[in-house]
Amino acid sequence: MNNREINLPASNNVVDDPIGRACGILTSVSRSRATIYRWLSLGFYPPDREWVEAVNREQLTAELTDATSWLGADQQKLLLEIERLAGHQRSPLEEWQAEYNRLFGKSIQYVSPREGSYRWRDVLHMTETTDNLTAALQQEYHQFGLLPLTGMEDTVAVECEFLAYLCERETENWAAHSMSSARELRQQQRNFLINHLGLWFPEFSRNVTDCAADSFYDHFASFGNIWLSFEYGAGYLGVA
Amino acid sequence: MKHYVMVIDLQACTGCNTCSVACKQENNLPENVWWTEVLTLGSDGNDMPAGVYPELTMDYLPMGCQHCANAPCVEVCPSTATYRLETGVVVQDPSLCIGCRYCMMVCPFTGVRVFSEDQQPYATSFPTGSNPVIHRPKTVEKCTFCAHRLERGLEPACVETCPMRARTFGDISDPTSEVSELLRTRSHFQLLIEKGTEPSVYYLT
Repeated sequence: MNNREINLPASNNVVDDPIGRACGILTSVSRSRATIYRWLSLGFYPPDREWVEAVNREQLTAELTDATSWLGADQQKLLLEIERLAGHQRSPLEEWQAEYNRLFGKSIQYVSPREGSYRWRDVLHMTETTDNLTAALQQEYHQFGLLPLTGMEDTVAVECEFLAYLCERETENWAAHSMSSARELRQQQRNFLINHLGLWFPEFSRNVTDCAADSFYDHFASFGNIWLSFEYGAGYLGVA
Repeated sequence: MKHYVMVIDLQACTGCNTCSVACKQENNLPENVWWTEVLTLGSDGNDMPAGVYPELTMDYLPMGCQHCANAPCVEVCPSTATYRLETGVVVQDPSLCIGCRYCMMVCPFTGVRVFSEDQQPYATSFPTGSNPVIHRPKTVEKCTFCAHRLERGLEPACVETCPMRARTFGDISDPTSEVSELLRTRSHFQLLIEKGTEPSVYYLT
């Protein structure tokens, strides 16, 4: 066989630290994931003036776009919902509050934003399950020194906030090159999704869509649903 | 301690993709899933010549997981789905994978891992090879140097089937092995050596 000259890209002689590089990448990724969970949490708390201003200033959509860019081609699915969210700017606070209360407050079209409402049907005693769930969640939060408002433990806002906190802790650990702690925190996020938020968010999202199609909360819950389908991995039942 | 490496002779590779097909068959890979591919160097697509007519060239680069000795994917995997065997082979257990894709993000080599959002269909209704791995959507997969074959004393399927004998597999820590002999006598390189991951795939030039 004749020898051929093979044209290969030139390489320089400076050797990187691959673990340092990996930590840098994952610091950025976990920070972005924290941002997404943080916004999901804020969006499911009752709206206040700061929230409305953040939406009107396009801070919500800009930060969500930026925080999902690491997903590459998969970002497209989320961008569609982010674009729809952008169409709900300029509403006054009173309208936000009315919409929030219509969906999640005392209302005929009530959509429960609580895990306890979705987890009792496969057992006999609803109240017992809710108590057990609350205790289990409190234990999870206490492990990390967190104390949510009593009665709020199983709400979508608090569960997303907890995940945001875990992602922030993970970010700090990647930045400090504390690999084992960072890995453990990532696994704990996954466990929390599998045991709690990921189990009921799909149904919650469907209920929001049924009760308030094309509203801000419809698109916001759909965004959350698609996002959680990426986060949950195999077995997520939320996105058709 | 053994350290398995693969040596690929770029002078011998004709880009026939027999290795890719053998890998697909041996590992029961669904459609759209490839653990090893043969890239065409210097052109925009596969099997497209580089250069301007009549000065055209076709050079190939078989590409798969590089089984790095200093693999960041092993270090960052939160579920221990990616791990290193005593032989230096980096394997991926899809049953443990949580789909976080951290391994894909920290790997300096593009396209050596596969992540499918949806279940990919199979071309046949029966397994075609001996790798028992079940391919699930939303999990990461990659070349395992046919670890299941190595356990039985066989070579990886791509090595065994290459019609040009371009691929050689063996223990680099054994100075009498064929791979050690090739690396002593032939000029060679490793991909992206400047990234410091110490790949276990060597290319002879």
